[in-house]
Amino acid sequence: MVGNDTGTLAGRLRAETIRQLEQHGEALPGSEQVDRDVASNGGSVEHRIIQRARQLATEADIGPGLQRVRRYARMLGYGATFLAILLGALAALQAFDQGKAVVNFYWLLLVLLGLNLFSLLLWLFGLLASNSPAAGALGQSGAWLLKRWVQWTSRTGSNDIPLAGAWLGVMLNGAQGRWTLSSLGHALWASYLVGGLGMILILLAARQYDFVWATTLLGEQTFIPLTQALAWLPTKLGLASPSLEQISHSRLGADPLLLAEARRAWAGLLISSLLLYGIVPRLLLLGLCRLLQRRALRNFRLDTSRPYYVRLRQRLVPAATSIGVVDADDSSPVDGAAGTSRTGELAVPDHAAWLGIELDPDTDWPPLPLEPDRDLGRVSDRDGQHRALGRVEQLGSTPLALALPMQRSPDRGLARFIGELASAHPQATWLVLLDPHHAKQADTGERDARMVDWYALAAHGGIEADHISQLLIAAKPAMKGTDNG
Amino acid sequence: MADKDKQDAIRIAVVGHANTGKTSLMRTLLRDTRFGVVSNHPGTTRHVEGGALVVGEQAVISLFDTPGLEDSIALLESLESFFPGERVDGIERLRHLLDRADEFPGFQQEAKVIRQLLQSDLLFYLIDCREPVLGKYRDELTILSYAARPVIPVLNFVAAAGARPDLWREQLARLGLHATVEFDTVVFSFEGEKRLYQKIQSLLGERYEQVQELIDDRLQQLEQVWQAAARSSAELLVDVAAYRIEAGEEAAELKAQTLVMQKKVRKAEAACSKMLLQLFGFSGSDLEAGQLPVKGGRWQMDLFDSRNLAQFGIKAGSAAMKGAAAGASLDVLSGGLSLGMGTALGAAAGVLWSGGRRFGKDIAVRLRGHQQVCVDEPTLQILWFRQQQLLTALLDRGHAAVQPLQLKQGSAALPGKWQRWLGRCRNNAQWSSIGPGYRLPDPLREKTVAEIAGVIRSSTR
Repeated sequence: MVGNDTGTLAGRLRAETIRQLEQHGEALPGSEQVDRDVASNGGSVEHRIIQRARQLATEADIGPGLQRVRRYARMLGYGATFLAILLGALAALQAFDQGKAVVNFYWLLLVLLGLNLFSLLLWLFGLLASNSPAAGALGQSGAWLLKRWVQWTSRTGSNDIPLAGAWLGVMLNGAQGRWTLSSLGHALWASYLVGGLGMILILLAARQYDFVWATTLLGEQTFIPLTQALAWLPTKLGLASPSLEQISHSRLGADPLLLAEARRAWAGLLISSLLLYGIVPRLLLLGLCRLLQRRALRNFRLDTSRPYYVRLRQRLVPAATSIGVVDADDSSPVDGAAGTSRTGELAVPDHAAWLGIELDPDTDWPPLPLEPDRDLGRVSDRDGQHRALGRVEQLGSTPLALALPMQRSPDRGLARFIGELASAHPQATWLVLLDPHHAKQADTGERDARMVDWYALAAHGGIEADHISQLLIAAKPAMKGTDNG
Repeated sequence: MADKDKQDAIRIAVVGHANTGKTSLMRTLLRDTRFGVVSNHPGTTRHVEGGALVVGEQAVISLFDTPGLEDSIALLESLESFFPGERVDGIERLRHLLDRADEFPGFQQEAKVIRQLLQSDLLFYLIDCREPVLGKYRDELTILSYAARPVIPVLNFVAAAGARPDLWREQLARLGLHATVEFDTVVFSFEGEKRLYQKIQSLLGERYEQVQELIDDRLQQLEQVWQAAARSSAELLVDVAAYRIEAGEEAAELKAQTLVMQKKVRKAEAACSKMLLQLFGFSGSDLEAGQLPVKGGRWQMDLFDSRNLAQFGIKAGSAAMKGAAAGASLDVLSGGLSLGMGTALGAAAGVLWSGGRRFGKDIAVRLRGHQQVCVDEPTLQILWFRQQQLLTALLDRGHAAVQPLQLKQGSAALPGKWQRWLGRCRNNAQWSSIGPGYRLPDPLREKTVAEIAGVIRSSTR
C-alpha cells in the first residue's frame, strides 16, 4: 500500500497535504513569507507549489506526521494480511470436515479457489466497468480504519488527521488509487490462499484423509474431464495428479481403493491447483498492479485547476509585480481641509463683474442677467486667461465674481489662475460654484470632499471663506458639437 | 527565443490631468486593489510609482503612475518661453526645463511627469470624458506631443452619466491622435483591456509578439480563474445539497440540530464567496474598506431569511417554511430494497459494503426513532442565484471600483438539470464535505461537480 515516495512524489504528497490543511481554513502561519520567497525564486507553477509545500512542511513539522500515517497504513496492511491468512486457514479447516477422514475434494477447492475466482471476476468487472476504486469496500473500510486509528492515536492539535486525509486522497484517487487498491486486494487474497494452503499442508502432514468427490445431479462424465482438465497444467509441470482410474474410484460411495498412491495423487493435485490457479496468479497480478501503481504515482500530477491551486498560483506566479516608487514626492503635503464648509446665500454684490472659468460649454452664460460691461466672459485656455487678467486689472473697485463649475477638480492650474486674478484685483473677489442639478443628486460624500478642496483653493488664492457661495443652475444634457471654450 | 526573453519591458507612462483615474487604470491592469491611493481629491498621487505586467518570469510592460499635470497652461507657457525666436523641437524644451528644474519650484510634480515621459516607450493619456474639452487639456496634449512618444488616449468613465466620448474623439483626432481606446476602470471587461493592448501592438509594431504573449496569458488566466470560480460554486452546491444530519424527534433537539446546520451552511457559503473574491483579486478586507455589502467574504443578507426567498421570487412550500428553519425531513426508506440486495451480495463478496453501510445507516437512524434533516430546496435555489450573481458581478468588476457591489434581482430560471443534480446529491450524503466524517474522493461526485461548474461557467457570461 506504500508507494515509492522518493523525489517529486513526496513533494506532491506534501503539497496535497498542505492543501488539505489550508483548503477549508486560513493559510498556515508563516506562509506569507514563504509565498514571497517562492515567488521570487521562479520555476513552473507546480514546481513553485511543491517548493512552497516543502518550506511550509518543515515549519509546520509535517514530515514526521506523514511518516506516522504511512506507518499506521503499513501496520494496518500487515494486520489485514494476518487476518486474511487466518481466514484462509479457518476456511480450509472448516472444509476438511473435522472428525471424518474423508474430504470432498471439490468442496475444498470451491471454498478456497471458488471464492477467490469470484472475487477476481468482480475485480476484473470493476476494473472494466468503473473508475471508482475508492468507493469500493476495500477503499472505504481501509480508509475508515486508518482514519479511526489516526484519530485515536493523534494528540489534540496535531495535523495527523488532515495528513491522513491528504495521504489517502493521493493514494486512493485516480489511476494510482485503482492500482493501490488492486494490489491490496491481490495481496489479501494471496494471503488467504496461503493461509488455506498452510492449513492443508499441516492437516495432510498430520492426518490421513481420503479424497472423494460427490454429486447428486451431475454425472461421472462431468467430473472426470473436469479433474483431468484441472490436472493438465500440474502434469505438464511434472507434478503428481490422480490417474483416470483413481478419479473414478474416488467417487463417494464407490468403495474406493484406499491406496496411499491415490491419496498422494489427490493431495498433490490439491496443492498444485491451489498454487497454480490461486496463489501464483494472484502473486503475478500483485506484481503487475504494484508496477502499475508505481508508474501511476510517478505520473501523478497536482490538479492545478483546483480553485485552491489557482489561488495559490496567483500568489506564487504573480501576473504583476511592483516596481515601487521611482520618483518620490519631496514636497510637504498641502493641508486640504482649510476653512469651514459653509454654503451661504448668494451674497455677491449686485454690481459685481462676472468671469466664468472652465465652465462646461453647455452651461448658460451669464448665469444671471448682466450688463455687457459687467460680463467678463468665460475662459478655459491660456489666451483667455491672459485677456481676462488684463480686463480684471482694469476693474478698479468693482467687485469680481468668479464662476466655476462645482464638479471640476480644483487643481493647481486653477489655484494659480485664481491666485493671479486675486492679486490683480485686490478688492473683494467672490467664488461662485455653479452647481448643476444632476451634480446635486450625486453622492454627498463626494460633494463634501470636493467642497473641502474648493475651500482649500480659495484660501490659497487669498479669497475669504465668506466669499464662497454656490449657485444652482439647470443641468443640460451633453450637447453635440465642438467646444471652443 | 533567448533574445526575445531578454527583451526589455515596454515602459509606459500613465499620464493625464488630476483625477482622471490614472491610479485606477494601474490597479485594473495590475489586478491589484492596493496599488497607490485613489481618492476624488486632485493631486492624490504625488510621486511616480511603477508596476510591471509579468508573463512567466518576464516583465512585458512596466507601467508608471504619474502625478497629474495640474497646471498645464502655465507649464506650456514656460516651455514656449524657452529659446525665444528659435525653431526648437518640443523635446529640447522639455529637457531644458528638466535641466533647470530648480528654477521652477512650482513645477516640481510636472518635472516628475516630464522625466517619466522622456523615459517611456509609450504614453497612456487618461481622459475623464465627463469633462468638456477645456483649454488646459489641449495644452496637456501639446506638452505630451513634445515628448515625441506614441500616445494612446484612454477614455475613462465612458459608462458614466454625462460622458462625451464623441466630443473627445473629435478633439483628439484634430490633434492627430487616433489610437483612442475606451476603457472604464470601474467596469471591467477583458475585451476593453485587450483593445488597449492591441493599440500598443499597432503603435509599437516591433513589440507585437511580446504584447501578444501578454494578451494570451491574460486570457488564459482569466479563463482559469473563471473555471476555478465555477468549480468552487459547484462544490458549494454539492456540499450543501448533499448535507444531511440526524436529529431526534423532539422539537428542542431538532431546533438545535437545525441551528448547527444553518451555521455550517453559512460558513460554507462565506468560505466559497471568500474564495471567489480572492480568485478575482479582491480580498475580504479590501471589500470592507470599499464598503461592499459583503463583510469579510460573507453576505450580509441572511440566507435563511424568508424575505430573502421573496426577493428571488421563490415560492417556498408551506411545509418547508413552517418552523424557523429550512429543515425538511428526508425519507430514505425507499432504499430498503437496495439494502437487501446489498447485504446479500456484500456477505458473499463484500463488494457492496459501502452501499450497504449507507442504507444501513439510514435504517439505523429510522430505528432509533430519529429523522434526517437536509437543507431544503428553496435555500439551495437562493444559494445558486447568489453564487451566480456574485460571480457575474465579480467578472464585471474593475479593480478600481470603490462603489458597493450592486446585485440585481435574480432570475428565477433554474438550469434544466437542476432536479437531477439535486437528486444525485441528496442520495449521496457522503459527498458533502461539510458533513461529519471524512470522505474519500468519489469520481461520480467529481463528475457532478464538473457538470454543474460547466453550466455555471456558460451561464455567467
